[in-house]
Amino acid sequence: MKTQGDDKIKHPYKAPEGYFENFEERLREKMPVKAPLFVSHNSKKRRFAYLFAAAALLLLASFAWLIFSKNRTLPLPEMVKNTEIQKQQSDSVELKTLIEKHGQNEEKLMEHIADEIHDKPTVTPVVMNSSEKQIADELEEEGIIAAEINDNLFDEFEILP
Amino acid sequence: MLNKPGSEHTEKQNQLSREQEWAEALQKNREKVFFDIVGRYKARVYYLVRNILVSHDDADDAAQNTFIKIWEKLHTFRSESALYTWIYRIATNEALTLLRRRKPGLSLDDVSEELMDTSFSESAWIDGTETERKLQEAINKLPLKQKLVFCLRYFEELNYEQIATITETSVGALKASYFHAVQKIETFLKQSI
Repeated sequence: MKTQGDDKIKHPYKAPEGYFENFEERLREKMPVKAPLFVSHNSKKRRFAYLFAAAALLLLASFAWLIFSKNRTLPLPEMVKNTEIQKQQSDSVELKTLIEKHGQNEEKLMEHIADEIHDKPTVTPVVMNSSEKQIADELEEEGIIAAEINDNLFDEFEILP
Repeated sequence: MLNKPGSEHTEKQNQLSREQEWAEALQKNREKVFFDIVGRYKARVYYLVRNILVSHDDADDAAQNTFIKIWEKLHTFRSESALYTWIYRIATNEALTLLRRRKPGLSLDDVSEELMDTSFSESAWIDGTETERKLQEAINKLPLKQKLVFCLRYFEELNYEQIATITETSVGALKASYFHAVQKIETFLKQSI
């Protein structure tokens, strides 16, 4: 089967009548309204778009730097921070002085600190923390009877004239 | 049975020269140039995709979409390749895209006849001699890849380098595809006699 030149077998397809005449018209209806922004490499629109993008980026970077640097150097927080540091430092110095003064005597040191901050030491004499019953028991052992006024303990005794 | 198609060197040289002029004029008057291109290539694009898709309605959709895509991407065209190679590549991809919508997991090894919306015999707008119809029936029974290569080589008379640019396949693979396509067509035509 020869296919060169005029002997070539063609395809059997055909287009409807008038199909190619209105092809462009139908194409225009389907085409997007505007052409893409970047029409060519040298277009003014493209250059303007690049310039605008660069300016916007620069502005954004400036804002970011401003906010970031401002957060790190605000005077009030800095002052407070410095004050706290100084206080901690002075506390450390004072503690050191105290330790030196009381000769590493922990009990004395605790007492001093408690007095300084108006707080009683947590370790107290047994008698002070004891309950009333415990106190009564202890006194009874020593020969002292502890009684409440309403105990009716003295009901058994006669009051001598 | 099927011999290699001939080439018209002078016509192609003129065509190339014309396209170089179009590429330069593109920067100056985009819309005018675009519709000049449409006027020049609409028939070729239509019959290229029609060969792949068979149905007129499918071919019309693919052809229109091809030129819309060309309009959108015209500014990206580089003159490293010939304009018509670039256009054919877009057209081929649009035809395959349409087939992929029909079958999401489309493979180029799929038989094209099974992918078409209507069978060749039922499709409207088919004319031609018995031989032409028989040949087209045989082509439609090819796997999609072989059908594509055969249509570009036989009907469009492109060389393997141009087809390689369009299909992004190696020349060796294209030659093998074309060889197998011709063998299958010959077998089919012999059986149908």
